[in-house]
Amino acid sequence: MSERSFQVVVIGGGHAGVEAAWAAANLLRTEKSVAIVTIDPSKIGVMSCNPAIGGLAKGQLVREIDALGGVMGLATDATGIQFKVLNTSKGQAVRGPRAQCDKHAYAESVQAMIASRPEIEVLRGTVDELIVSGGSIRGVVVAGQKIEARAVVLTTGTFMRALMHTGESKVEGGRYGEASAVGISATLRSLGFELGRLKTGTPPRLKQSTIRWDELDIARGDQHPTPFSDLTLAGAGGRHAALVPAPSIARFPVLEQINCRQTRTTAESHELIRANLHRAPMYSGQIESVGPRYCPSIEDKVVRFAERETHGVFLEPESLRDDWIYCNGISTSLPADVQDKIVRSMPGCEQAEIYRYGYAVEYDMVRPHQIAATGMTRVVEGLFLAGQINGTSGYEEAAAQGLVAGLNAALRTLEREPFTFGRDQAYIGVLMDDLVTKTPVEPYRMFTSRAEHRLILRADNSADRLTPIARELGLLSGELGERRWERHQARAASIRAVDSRIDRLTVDGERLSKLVRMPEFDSTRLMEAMAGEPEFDGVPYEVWETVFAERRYAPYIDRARNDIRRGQEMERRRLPDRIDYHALTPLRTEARAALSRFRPETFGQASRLEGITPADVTLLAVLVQRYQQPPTARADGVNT
Amino acid sequence: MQTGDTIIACATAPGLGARAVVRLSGPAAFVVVDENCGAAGRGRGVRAARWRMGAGVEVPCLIALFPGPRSYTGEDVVEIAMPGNPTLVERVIASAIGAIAGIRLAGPGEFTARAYLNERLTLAQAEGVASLIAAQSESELVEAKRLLSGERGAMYRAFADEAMTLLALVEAGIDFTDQEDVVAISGADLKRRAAGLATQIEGVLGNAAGEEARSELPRVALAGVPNAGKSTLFNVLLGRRRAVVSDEAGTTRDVLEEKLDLSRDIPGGSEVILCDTPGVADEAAGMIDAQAQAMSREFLASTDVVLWCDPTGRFEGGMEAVPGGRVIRVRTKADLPHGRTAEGAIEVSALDGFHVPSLRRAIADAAWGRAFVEAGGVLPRHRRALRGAGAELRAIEAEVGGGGQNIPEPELAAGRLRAVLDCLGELTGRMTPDDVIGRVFATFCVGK
Repeated sequence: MSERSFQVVVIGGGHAGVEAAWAAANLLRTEKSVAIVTIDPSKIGVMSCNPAIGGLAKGQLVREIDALGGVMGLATDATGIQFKVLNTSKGQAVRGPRAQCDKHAYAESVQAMIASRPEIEVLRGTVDELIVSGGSIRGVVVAGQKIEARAVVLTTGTFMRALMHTGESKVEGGRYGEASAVGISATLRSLGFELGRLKTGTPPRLKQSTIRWDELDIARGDQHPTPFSDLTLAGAGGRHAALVPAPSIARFPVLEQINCRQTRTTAESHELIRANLHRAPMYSGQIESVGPRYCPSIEDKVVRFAERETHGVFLEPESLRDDWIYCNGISTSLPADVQDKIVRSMPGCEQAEIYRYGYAVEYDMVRPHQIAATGMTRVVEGLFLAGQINGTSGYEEAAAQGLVAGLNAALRTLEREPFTFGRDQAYIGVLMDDLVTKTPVEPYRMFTSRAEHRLILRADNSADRLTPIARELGLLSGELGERRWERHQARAASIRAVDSRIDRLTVDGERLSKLVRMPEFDSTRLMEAMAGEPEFDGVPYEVWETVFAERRYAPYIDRARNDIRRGQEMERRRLPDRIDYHALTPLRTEARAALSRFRPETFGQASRLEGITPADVTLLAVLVQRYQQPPTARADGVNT
Repeated sequence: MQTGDTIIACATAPGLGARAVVRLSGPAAFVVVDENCGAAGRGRGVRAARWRMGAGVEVPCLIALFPGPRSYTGEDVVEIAMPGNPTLVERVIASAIGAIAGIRLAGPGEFTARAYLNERLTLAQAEGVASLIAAQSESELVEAKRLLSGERGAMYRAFADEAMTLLALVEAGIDFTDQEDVVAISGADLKRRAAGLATQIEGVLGNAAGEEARSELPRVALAGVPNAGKSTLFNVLLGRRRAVVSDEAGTTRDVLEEKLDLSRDIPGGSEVILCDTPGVADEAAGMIDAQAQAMSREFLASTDVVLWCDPTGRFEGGMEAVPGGRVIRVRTKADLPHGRTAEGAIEVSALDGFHVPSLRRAIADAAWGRAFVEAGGVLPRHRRALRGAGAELRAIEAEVGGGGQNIPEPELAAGRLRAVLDCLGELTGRMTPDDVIGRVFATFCVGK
């Protein structure tokens, strides 16, 4: 048995796996220090469901990943075929960039980026076994070959013990036409992990030429597309273009921009669904696992909102190279014959042909209270989990966890301190904290309302918040990293210059610093107000947006920062690793149970567990201090 | 340990003492003194000052400053010695919390916890810290649960429910605007409903104005026909001979007042003022002193709890409802043979102490517990939470434009609504973003 050795082995080549490998490579900077093990290397970076990136809250995640030197923003900018910023009628804090991508181009772009990294080697195969000894990961076995690793990142997506349902038919596999990963579930279970089972679904894909396309209502993107990456934002003819093997971001948008179309379900569709509910796996009892409420199947929508006569359906081209249409709004696992009829009951689709039927997929996940906010499991040191295996849904959520896990896997092999993001630093921090303090009841998706500091965590200021951290951690490697840093510094200087000028300017006798607080003011008016200043010629629009947002939200942000500062010490104060909460009898039974299950790393995490009151946290602080006294001096009530 | 925030609480037992001490601990403790007493917050020592509570109201006090780490908790500590009037104490605490952000009411045992964590207590001294905190927080939880199970609790929950619905409607317009099924709440609707909720909350505070104005401990009066055994019960409850007792009806001519400590009888209990009164007979005939009788009726009208004593156990006629309706029926002389005792009455024998503990609990409950709340009383902590919620709702009413369909900056209105929920959460239990998101999913068909 030949042996190979890597610092970090990433299992899975989806969005989590890609960011994990990329982040680890950024830190390790040594040839062949990172491996991606995947069943099929041609499927790296594939968009399994809707070929869209971003949206509300998710767009913020992508901007953060980009600010931390990640892949997703660059690949999206290189392959987007429709860009649209959502919520532009609302405040800066809740706007979210979204793009639809050419799904073939996207995967190719990701694969080209991975191939450009000498640090990363791609290995084909399924992982049969995790090698664990002394409570630490030592490597993996792939197709009988032993591969040593100091850290392993497991990103199984929907593939663990995956089962696809279309009506009565059940097929093993995590994605259409692909296999399921069976052995890994059993391995995890035998290591002592508690597993759960979730469900998600995807709608049918239609053949565009069979749809009366031109007769349907148009759904357009923005007239002036906004890119995701700060490198792309750097402007036309970006000097970094040659550094990215993606189709080039020298111009933006890169690909031809397209329109989507809109249709709807009808009374006939709903009748068909009701008549065939008994054949839907979700209703026949064939599927028992829980799916997401925010992404219900069309059968769910018809049952739960019976009074609605119609539901909107967006028809979204998946690529410029073929005529596959994603049918956004009718995710379903009804049998194929029913899907045909439902599709044909929608206006414009009377003759439509289905390229691929919708299906539901059930898969195993590891209950996320078993990981720390670094993504590392508590059961096996050096083993990290990221993506849907932790019970999340969405490319962006997966990518964000991949970045955190890859970063910490590399930090561990470098024998550096682990790093976690605070809830006040990034949506990524909110995501990881939610995973380790809450019991998921459905696949977890990010919303802006999950972030208590969303006025601070904006898409526009992601680089201001995170690029300095990325540099500190070593995530900005190579020339691409240098460009990001240059870009960040230039932007920071612009922001300072514009912001300080506001205090010295008056417009029509009114101080500009006062005007920016007026409800009707906005970033465009700020830009216009300073148009006469030659030194601000060429300051990019996104700088005006950030300066305006900071000024507009200033009173709220100041208050929030005060709260954060006051809470900081308790928030970050660590709890001992090995503590028997059941022995802390002065704590209420409910509190002891919650603490034992979640084993929070910090008092901040402890305070957010369900069933923990502020008084419990005070008591915990006292008990922990007593716990750490020498046994002879310890009062009773705390036994080791 | 510097935990970052500053806590405040009354350090003396609640109730009507000659002096009360309000204690502050944390980095902002001295700043609060600066804010409320002028620049008094420097150095170590005691000085006389006047505490400003807004609207030109001041209270004379002694301010003692203990800069950390040489203080009880190891942090900067301020102790405000002031007249022991519960209403004034409450207003001083409220004005301190309102003075600067980041000051909050201390949790159970928190001063002691901080002292221990900052190594200001030896292990021996700290022996009881954990059990103290555990016991206090347990009794608070029990009390909170009790309050919520009643009518008043249902009303608080209705407030929280409406606030949650409003937040869900606003959040739906932020997080789910890409969903055609989601119709965001209009500015006009939000304005109207926020104002409506504020009015309801203010209504509760208004009804409780009488409670707020009360500057004394709850008054508990013994009443009943002459020779019902009121004075005997008075002495038994106090545990000492205070009232003159005789078999001659009408021995008691004046109202006697004594403090009775009920703090051990129910969680959250405190002292009450127990008043022995001359008996009230229905008919003028047999009255020993008509003047004393008239005084007694007037007196009963201003009392908080009435112990209606009747040795016959029949409780017929005579006793008019006390404002708030808090009457405890006591069948005295339970050692004597008698017929059926009316339902809900407590049988007490002063001779052998039969059911005296039950009576004490009933009094404490009526004066400070659920019965107090059910009868329209609002506990100070609840009043503060309701006031906070009301203020945020009024801010929404003022800030959200009424005309347009869209709310231009829903993220700011949502921030205020979260503050409302934080306040109401102190009454009804914490509400999380997941609860809000759940409400959105229940209301709209989300998912395209």
